[in-house]
Amino acid sequence: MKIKNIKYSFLLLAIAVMSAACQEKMVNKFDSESSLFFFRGTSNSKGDPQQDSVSFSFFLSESSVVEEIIWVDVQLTGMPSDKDRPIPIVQTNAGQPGAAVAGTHYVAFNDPSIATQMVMPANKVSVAIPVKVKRTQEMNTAEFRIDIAITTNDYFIAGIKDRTSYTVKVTAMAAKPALWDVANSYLSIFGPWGQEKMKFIINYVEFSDFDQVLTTDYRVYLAIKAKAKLAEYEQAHGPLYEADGITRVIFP
Amino acid sequence: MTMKQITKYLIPLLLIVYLTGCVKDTGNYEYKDPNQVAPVLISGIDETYSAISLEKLVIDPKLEGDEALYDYVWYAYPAAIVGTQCDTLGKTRKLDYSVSLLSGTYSLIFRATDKVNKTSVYKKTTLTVSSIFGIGYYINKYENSRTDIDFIDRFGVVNKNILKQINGEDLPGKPIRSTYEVNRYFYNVINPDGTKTRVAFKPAIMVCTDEDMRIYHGENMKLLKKWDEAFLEKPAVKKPQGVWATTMGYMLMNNNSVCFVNNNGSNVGEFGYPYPVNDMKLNPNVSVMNSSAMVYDDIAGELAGYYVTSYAPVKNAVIKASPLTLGPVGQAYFTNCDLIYMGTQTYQATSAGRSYVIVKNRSTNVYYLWQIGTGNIQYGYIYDYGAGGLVIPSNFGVTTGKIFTLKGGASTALNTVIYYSAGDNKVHYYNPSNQTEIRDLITIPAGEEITYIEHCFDNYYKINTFVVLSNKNGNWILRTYDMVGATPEVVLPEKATYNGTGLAKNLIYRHANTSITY
Repeated sequence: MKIKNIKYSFLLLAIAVMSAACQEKMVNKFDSESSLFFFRGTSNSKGDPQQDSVSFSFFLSESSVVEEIIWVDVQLTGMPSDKDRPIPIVQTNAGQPGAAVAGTHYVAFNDPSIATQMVMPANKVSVAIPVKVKRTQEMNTAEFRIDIAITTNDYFIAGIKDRTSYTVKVTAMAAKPALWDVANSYLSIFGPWGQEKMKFIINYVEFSDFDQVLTTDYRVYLAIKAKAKLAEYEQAHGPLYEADGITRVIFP
Repeated sequence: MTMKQITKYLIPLLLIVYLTGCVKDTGNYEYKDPNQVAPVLISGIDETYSAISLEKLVIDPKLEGDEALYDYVWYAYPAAIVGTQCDTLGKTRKLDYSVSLLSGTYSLIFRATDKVNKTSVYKKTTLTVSSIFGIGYYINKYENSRTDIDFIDRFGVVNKNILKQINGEDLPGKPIRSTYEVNRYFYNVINPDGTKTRVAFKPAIMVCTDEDMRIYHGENMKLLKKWDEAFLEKPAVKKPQGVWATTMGYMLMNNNSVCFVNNNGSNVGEFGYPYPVNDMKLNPNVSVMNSSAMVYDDIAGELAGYYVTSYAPVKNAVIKASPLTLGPVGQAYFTNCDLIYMGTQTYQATSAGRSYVIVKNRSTNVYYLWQIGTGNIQYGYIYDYGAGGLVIPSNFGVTTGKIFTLKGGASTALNTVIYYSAGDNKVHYYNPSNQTEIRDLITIPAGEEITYIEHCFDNYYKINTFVVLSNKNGNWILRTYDMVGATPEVVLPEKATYNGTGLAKNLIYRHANTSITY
């Protein structure tokens, strides 16, 4: 490339930049309407991560627990109000395959027991709303989905386009913890993973934090306790099997 | 540049370097005898030193010439452990060191290095360190419904109630036993900012009563943990029955089961979950060797064992001396017997001799002596080591003894005698190797009741003392005796006598290099 060409190129670039700088910037001004959107981030007001969905399993809860609340943060654009404003929230996948049924798998959003919590409180710009999920027998073998959307009402217009929907998935099935098969981890204490085994560990060994990296002495503690508790259980109820009825729950 | 051109220049260059090597080196070096140029130590360093923790150790060596011309260093490392780190104690000619090394024997090194020619003089000596609590007798005693320890230090001074004196509190209940281990205890310390720091490899003394168990630092006797802090999961029932040190940590018997602090490099000094007991009723008499513990099932009337990394009791017996020649497996040597005595011979450091067991057959009333390799329980079996159920004549006093101890020694079959007392004022011994008894070996004044006897022995450090602990009128008396060489006999009369208030139960003895008190 000739030097002359390079020089002309620079000149043209400089002119383009200068002309762009002369254009008036159009700033979008807030037009006084309020809208709502779901918070997204690593830590919501309850300290939990909140992205576009959450999976919840009753598996990690004791068997006596039949209801749990999943808190979802909703935030405001616009000015706070001096009075409480109802949040327009609906399930968008009702009737579809795998959809949770209001009243069966979760408490409907307009249910009187939680309706008072489905508001943006006066003088607030964010609120945690409850999604109250209910344990059912079907959840032992299936997962149910609640697709939630913020719509509009007298107080709010549609909010940030890609943040007005959120999904809650609920089940009672167990998932194998990521650390289970790691060397010197849960496999060495409890043996091969199984749903019934994991439930037993949670309910009888009273251990449920499977994200922990365990020290050796704690592993020994858990190993002995698991065997002792299983022996006690078998004495009272007989052997414990996985759902297939063949695989007996044992600890090494 | 082509390869041809590179070669054209490279070959002459290599030739020049090669030929330069042939030139004779006529450098002006001057070699001198190191004895003429190295620093010379004149005096001031002895062959051995003894020091007490936190007290000053001062050594003032003299060197020839101008001492300012040298760099100095003092360092120490454990004498018996190869490859351990050295601790630097000082960097001046005169060592003025506030002793912070743990109790034990160290090689102490002094080195002075000429700053210019870097030659050094080097002197190795032996340093024995102990805390004030590192040498002496710990008397477990009961007074005013509480348990405390009277400590007889190396100077013969009886330091009363050290647990209360140091920690402001003693223990509830009657003493059962205490145990010491030199460096297997770990614990967490909470920092001012709330974070935890793990303190590793510390000595600890555990004291057990029938109502409590507490853990103390072995160097300063400061309380480390009370019962509520001493478990990963606090037992539902608190009924302590004894605590024992092993080379793998510590074992506690509570409410007819045992649990361990496992020395695995990651523990924080908390006992784990109780091991299965399988319908046994555990006798609180336990014999420990290395990392294994031999227990006795009072229901079946037979031996059993525990090893920290085997999560079930061991009951398989092997009636052979060697694991290489396994005999019948899976049968107890004996069953349906009452335990009369069970104990382990001390030998040196963490090693022990053999464990001896005296039992009485419930059906025949015959007394037997068994010699067991408790240390082999870790392999999953209980091994007989030669006595093979030696019948003890029924007229021998040892069959009705109440207080026992073994003569220290190595593992040769029947290479011991069993000292015993009926709990009166006399000590006798039974010699199984020739089936004889020596009566009235020691007689203390009438009215005193012997509560504990021990042969304090270490083959390597030449500890060889017999002690008799007795009670009278609510006070305790400790007598120490020299032994007659390697024989079971004691030199009479006693060498020293110590007294204190309260009813003594037993004691532990620590010398400067005690690693463990089984």
